[in-house]
Amino acid sequence: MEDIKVNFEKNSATALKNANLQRALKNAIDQFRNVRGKAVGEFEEWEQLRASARRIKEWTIGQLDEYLEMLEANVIKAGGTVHWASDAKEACEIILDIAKKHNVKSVVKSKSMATEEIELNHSFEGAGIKVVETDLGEYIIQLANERPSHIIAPAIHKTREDISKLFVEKLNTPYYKEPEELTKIAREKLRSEFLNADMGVSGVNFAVAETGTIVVVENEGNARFTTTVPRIHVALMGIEKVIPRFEDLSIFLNVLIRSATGQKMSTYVSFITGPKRNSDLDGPEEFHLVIMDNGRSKILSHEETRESLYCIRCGACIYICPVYKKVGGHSYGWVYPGPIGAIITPQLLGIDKAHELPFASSLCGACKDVCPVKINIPRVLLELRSRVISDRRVGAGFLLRIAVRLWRFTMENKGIYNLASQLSYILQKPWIRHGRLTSLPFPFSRWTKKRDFPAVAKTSFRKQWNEIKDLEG
Amino acid sequence: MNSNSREEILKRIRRGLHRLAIVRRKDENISPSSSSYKESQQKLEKLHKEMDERRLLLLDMFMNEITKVSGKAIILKSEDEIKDYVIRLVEEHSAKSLAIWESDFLKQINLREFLENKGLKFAPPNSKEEMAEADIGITEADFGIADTGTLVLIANEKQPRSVSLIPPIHVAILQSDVILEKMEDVFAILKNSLDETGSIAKLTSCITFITGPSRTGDIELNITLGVHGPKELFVLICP
Repeated sequence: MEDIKVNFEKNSATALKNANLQRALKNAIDQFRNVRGKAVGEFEEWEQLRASARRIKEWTIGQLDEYLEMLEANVIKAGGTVHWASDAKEACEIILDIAKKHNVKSVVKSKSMATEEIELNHSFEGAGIKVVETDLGEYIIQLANERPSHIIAPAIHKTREDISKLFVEKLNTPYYKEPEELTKIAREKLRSEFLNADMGVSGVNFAVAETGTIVVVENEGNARFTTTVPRIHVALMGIEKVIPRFEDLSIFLNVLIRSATGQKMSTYVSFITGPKRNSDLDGPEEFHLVIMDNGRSKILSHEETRESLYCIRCGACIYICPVYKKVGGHSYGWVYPGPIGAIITPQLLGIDKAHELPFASSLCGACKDVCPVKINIPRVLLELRSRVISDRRVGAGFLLRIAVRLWRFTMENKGIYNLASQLSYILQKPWIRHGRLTSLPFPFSRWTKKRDFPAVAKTSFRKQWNEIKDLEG
Repeated sequence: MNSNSREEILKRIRRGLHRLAIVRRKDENISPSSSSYKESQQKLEKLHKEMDERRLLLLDMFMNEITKVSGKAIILKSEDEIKDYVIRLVEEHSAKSLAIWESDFLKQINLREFLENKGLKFAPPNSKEEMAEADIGITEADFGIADTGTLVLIANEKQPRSVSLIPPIHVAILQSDVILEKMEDVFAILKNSLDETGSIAKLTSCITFITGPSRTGDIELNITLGVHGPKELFVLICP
């Protein structure tokens, strides 16, 4: 994890040139925005629901230590085992130890961002243990040896033709193009994996402190297989996933599901409390819960950005973001894309590892408006920008500091401002194309390489305004 | 190493939150949104009264919603109608092996014996290999949620969870008097199965909400049914 460095500028430039990706993104996103809008619109008390979810998150994170201890006690009471992992390395070690102790040969996984975060699959493969992703999207991504590009729809960047070719190449199937046929192949392949696996690894959408219950939300049934069929179930959660009470779930399931997929209710929600009881006929014999910090307590200690931990990973901000819609998930360089990635990645990896991300936003605020727990993402982005700028490793250099001073001086002095704008009106002339500046010389080229700049007008806004006022008299 | 990390993580959290002394709260104050145990008991009584008064309305809502998510709901008026319907499904799908719950109502109508007499085999739920060969799984929902068309299945020794998961067809019996209006009503009732100290004595290893057949949208957001779980869901509603 230490060697990850996000290069947003390079990644996004590549993504913008990929016509196939642009098409896949546009189709999926337009469709999703429509569906989500309906699911939220039909719920009369949506705003109250968001406010309640927000309040419970604030409250819980505010005394997180206590709720984690309560959760631990209740998981143990139900017959489960609790492990604590300070970082990604320790989380992988804990899970590998469980696997080795039980002589596990093969593992099935249901979708979990936390396991992506710690690159658990690499650890398993390194130890010679077979690991199979079972969510259809994740399965496709695993076959293609890629990273998910969206937290809810991991293969959103792939068209059906891409997937057909992938299946022919990796699974030696005939060329099927229809989603129904492709899904059927995956069903058959994965069925045998489920029945042969010794261990299932799942994520956790919510963990209920008062009962020691973990909640897993899904549509396919792969998480039910993962948590039911193999003899050992390991669930990995970040420390922020805990909620106090069982009945709080009606609030959180409502906001999560409607925001994530635009459904009223997902096909399956599993509420798992410990391993199978002695008299039960099926279910895993052992249940292990791994509670992981991995940088989250550091986020907690900054009051200005603490709300980043309220995120329930619904992905609504990702779909709504105009920047994501153009650059896609892989541009964000790590497991969390879109606006939520832009605030979480720099905080989890370190500001120097992902210093471009807080700037990968137009601050339009659409993410804040859709967020079901009302995280003020633009405000967090601004706070992180200021941390980047004042960082000695990646912050503003000498020239930029001078330039900003100069800019400030100009803006504060009316005479100099007027002079500067008239000067630029004259100086810009050789570069005007159809009323726009499309390629300026260095250092201004750093702007025009990516986007045009409107040509400076002959008469300033202030002057025009006064003239109009005089006319209206 | 492990116990060390536990202390380290909790210490970092306390330091980050500037929480020096830990003040234990009474259980009633566990979270801002929640009601007390007593309140939830009162809510429960009110709920049962409403359910009785609005049974037809809730039934209608349930049927409407489950149809929207590609489930099939059928109202059957008697034991015999249930048996006839199941036999018809068995024939239509040329099913040879089934899996079934031993819940009270299913025992009462002797559905298993009836089907065994017709020459059908039953897979034992503790054998995943035999379960994988089963064509139809038969369960009985503990609750229904009208607002979303959801079945609530509570796993226990008589109600194994793989019966609603592994066979490609899931048939669930739903008695109309356990249909609740909203998801929150289920939590209010399940809460009743916790005792006053919030102990989990009665919460079983797994509760599952099921809303329609298994589905995915992972290929171009194209909705496809039956990716891992059942491809078809039949809800047989008894008045």
